[in-house]
Amino acid sequence: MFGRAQHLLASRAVHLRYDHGTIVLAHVPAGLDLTGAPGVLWDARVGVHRAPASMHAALVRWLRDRAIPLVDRAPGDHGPTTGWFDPGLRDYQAAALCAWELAGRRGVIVLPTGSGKTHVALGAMATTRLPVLCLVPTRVLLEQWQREIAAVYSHPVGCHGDGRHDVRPVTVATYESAYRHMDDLGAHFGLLIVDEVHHFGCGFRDEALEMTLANARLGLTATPPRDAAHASRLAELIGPTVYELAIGDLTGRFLASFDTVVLHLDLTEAERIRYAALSQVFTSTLAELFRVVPQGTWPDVVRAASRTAEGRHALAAWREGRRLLALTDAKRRALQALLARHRDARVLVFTADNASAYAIAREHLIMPLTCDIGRPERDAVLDAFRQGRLRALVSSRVLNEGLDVPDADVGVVVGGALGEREHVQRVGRLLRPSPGKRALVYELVTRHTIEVSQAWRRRQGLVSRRSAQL
Amino acid sequence: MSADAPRSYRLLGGAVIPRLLVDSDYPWLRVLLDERERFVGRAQREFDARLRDPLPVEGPSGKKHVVLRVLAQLGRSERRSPVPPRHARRLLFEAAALTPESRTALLARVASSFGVAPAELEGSLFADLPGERRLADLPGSLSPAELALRANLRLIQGLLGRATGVTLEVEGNARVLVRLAKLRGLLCIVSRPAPGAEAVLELSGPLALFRHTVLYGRALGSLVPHLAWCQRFRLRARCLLEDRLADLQLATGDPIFPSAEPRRFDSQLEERFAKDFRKVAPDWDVLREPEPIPVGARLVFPDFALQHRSDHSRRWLVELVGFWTPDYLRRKLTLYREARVPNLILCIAEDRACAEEELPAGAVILRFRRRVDATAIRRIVT
Repeated sequence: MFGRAQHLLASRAVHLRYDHGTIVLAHVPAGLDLTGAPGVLWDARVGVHRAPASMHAALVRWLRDRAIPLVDRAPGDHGPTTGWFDPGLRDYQAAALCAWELAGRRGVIVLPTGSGKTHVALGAMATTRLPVLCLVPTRVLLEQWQREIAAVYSHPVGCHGDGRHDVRPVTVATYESAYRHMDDLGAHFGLLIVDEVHHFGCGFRDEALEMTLANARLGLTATPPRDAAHASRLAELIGPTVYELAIGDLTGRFLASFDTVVLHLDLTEAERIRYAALSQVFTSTLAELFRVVPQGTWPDVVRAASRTAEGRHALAAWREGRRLLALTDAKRRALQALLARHRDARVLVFTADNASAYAIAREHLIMPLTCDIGRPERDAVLDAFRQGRLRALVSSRVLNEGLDVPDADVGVVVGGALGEREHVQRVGRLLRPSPGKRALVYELVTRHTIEVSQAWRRRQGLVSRRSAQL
Repeated sequence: MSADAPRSYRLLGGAVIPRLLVDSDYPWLRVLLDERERFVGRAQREFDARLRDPLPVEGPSGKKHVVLRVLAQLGRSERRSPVPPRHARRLLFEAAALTPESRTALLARVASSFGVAPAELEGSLFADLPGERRLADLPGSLSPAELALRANLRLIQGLLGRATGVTLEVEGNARVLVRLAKLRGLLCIVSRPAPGAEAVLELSGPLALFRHTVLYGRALGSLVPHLAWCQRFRLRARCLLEDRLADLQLATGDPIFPSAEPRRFDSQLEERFAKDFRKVAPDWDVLREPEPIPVGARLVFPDFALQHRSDHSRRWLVELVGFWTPDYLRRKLTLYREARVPNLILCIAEDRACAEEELPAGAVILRFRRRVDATAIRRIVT
């Protein structure tokens, strides 16, 4: 009897079904007005109502508020995960987690590099016990996140990316893999954690976040977007910033203090002539474009330039100029002196590109850590650095984000390509605290070139993040 | 596509015109292939440096850019070094961290431990990294004509990577395209605007309802090489290029590298059924992929037609259904009834039901698990 009643109810109810990153509403009774239902549009292609999967929870609420019978066949939550141990959060990490819970389990937590953002994520996983998908930007971080989760979770951790497609209740995926496979992955998780979340909200790959049913969402970053449109879109996809601490807030007890030394260097005569010639090509063309698009950002100008042969020529000259500045003769000599001076310290050398990293590796015989170095070797290198068998590492981007780099005291910024955000992250690599530690950051800046203003801007980035240590 | 990469297309009004490679490009392609041949065994980096200078016969920069990417994809490279690079790095860099020796002395000492000269050790250090790997021969004998076709395919796929949706008018091979599109998670609406006209496939992805997304561009592009197996086709895509939507058109005869011949059977299940049925009903013909059936403006694609050899009026259509709901089956049956197809067998996978409701009445439905029972089908048709 009960079965028949249930069957009758089901036959009159709206059915929700997950379909490749969207929610399909089937059996919608004639006359039911879905105007105002969150995200729902009529899909004339197949004759159904459809909403993005990220709207699932809001849609269920909307239907229930109106007492509309509902059969929810969107899987989403597969029941609680078990086998978690207490990750042991520091007080500020626990406070961050609490703020996220109070915000309805949606929001971004901003903590400086080296302060244990991953630990906050582990806290969220262990507390909510929801099936969780963690998105990380690189293959390097894929492995690291799995390792950190495995330390507090007793079941195997799934992995999606770097050639693996193993989905489990707790899974780590690269952004790229998630973007390509979210139509399938999106149905399985209740909690979505996005590391380095500032990469989202600007249009590129945002669809991945729209295609998952997960209602609980946590974003982690050290460098949240300050641009209003970007921040607003991120708030829509993940939630607003719910907790924020800067380097200055944690310096002393949880992060080491640091000093910055800027070394101003000159180009050689040959380099100067070449740089001047390249500058002439790109400044005249790009200045004209900036005049045409006065409010335009750099990406706007690049887009505009790429539409004409002249613009593309200017961009090529701009890149060539960047390559020239990446490792000048004076930078080579300064680096040699600094490496000799800090021979007994652990040094991280940051470059603008891989070519410079390899050139430095050959010249100064220090180990490069680039995207070309495979995972087993990378792990062995970090281990050797940890144990003191290697004293210096040189890298362009691999050390920028998230990677758990062993304690280092000296950083040398030979060049950078990604501005303020990259600089904050690089400095963060040196702030792992130890008794009496005061880290030292050298910036090599070439006089009378674009590097002067770039260096000024990236230092402003640190200041604006309320670091009082400069 | 990086912003300063030369363009392999031009925008003309609301249209995007791809710069396809044609016969007149063969001379510079020949020169390029010969030049690459000359660098076989040398570092990729050296070949890249050579290409920064003009070739004796130079191709347009946009086309050359695409061709080089195709060559990079086709051309294997190999590592050649007297010392395993990873081992060389570990020993040399760890030795450098521990002693204040000069670079020259250190290289000499570590090289001697490997029994090689310092220059050989230096040459081995990064010999496994992309720029240092040695160029190997291209597979087979790649002619300029084939290289041009492959480059055109890549060029079109690159543009379709920015596509928000595709309309395809096809004659022949429509079924394969529909199957491939569905396998790739695309929505595929098939229609026939007029009796006897070509089938029209509207391809896009579920999320395309909400925004102009290029999320499905890769899947859309993957269909292009299969178009060569259509008797006739016309493709129209809406591509998001340089912040605006532009139409891309492609048609039969455009020089695109084709896919391998489509498989005769979609799956082992179908292949096994055809084999089993021929065995149990030797006086019946099994026609794979019969003509699509028009229903109003839409088309449906049965999997098999079973036809008695001596009496062609005894003809049944068979469709194998994977995931299904009773509602789905009902709609399917309605379509076949509208098309006045009286003899239809739907074979439904028992373990792939999406609902537990009752099956529609008045239909010949056969459940299967791993194998469709050919004997049961024979009983139905005879």
